[in-house]
Amino acid sequence: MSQLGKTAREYLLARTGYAAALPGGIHPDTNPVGGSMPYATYQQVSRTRARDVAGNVLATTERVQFTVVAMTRAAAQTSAQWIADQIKATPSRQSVGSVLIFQWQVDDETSSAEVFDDGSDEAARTVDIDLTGTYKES
Amino acid sequence: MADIVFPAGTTATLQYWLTTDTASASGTSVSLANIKTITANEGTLGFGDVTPVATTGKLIKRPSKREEPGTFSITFYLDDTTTATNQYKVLKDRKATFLRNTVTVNLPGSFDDSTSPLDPLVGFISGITTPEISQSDEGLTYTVNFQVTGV
Repeated sequence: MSQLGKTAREYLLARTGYAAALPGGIHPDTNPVGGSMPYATYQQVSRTRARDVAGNVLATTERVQFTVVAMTRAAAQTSAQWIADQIKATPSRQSVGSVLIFQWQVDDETSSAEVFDDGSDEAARTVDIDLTGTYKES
Repeated sequence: MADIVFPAGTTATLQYWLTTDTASASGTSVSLANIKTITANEGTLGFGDVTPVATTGKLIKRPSKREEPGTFSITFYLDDTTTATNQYKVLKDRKATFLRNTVTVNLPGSFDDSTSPLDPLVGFISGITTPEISQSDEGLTYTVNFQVTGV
């Protein structure tokens, strides 16, 4: 489970326009069967911790990938852009739930016509965006 | 052979001397928080040439029996945003008032004994940097430089 992904989900759920941008919701790892589109899933890519000399964890930096799935390229792009815009709106130190975010930003974005990566052409289109953030674990 | 000691578990305290030239450390000892790095201190012995200027070949040297106590610095993560009272402000004020300090580094393992630290360092804060700011994922840090005075 990605702590940053979970925190970003909590943050995005409270943002204006969430229901319109992602009617299918945001889910860890996989989407529930039969959900609406567009939806997003998130997966942890990496997590590193900064410590002081005593060994205390002062900050954790994590990269998490959000995959937005929609029926059209434009819809997937719009929903992914909505996520990026929300992160960009409050990029610095803030509390989200019990987590203190030091900073976060959207780094990479890639598009794909594949949901299942099986080589077949599919109706759904996906956009991946990578969120990198540093936070203090509670 | 004893185990190699790693720095994880290291703590440091700073005891403020209450007046500029008091004979002993009598101020409160406080723990230093969020230490990223403590640089090495080297007390170096001075040497002088004892070979006449006209002599060629090997220049014989002799210790002057005077020791330069050296300098060291501690780099801290800037964590506390309360600028009026945080550690950055406290240390900056200590520099401004020319007060002497004793920094005691408590190493882990068998060195973890505050009553007989490896090498307590007495001196003054000679400088304190503001955080270097750039577009990066690194946390902000500031560095406090100490001039060791030996006493």
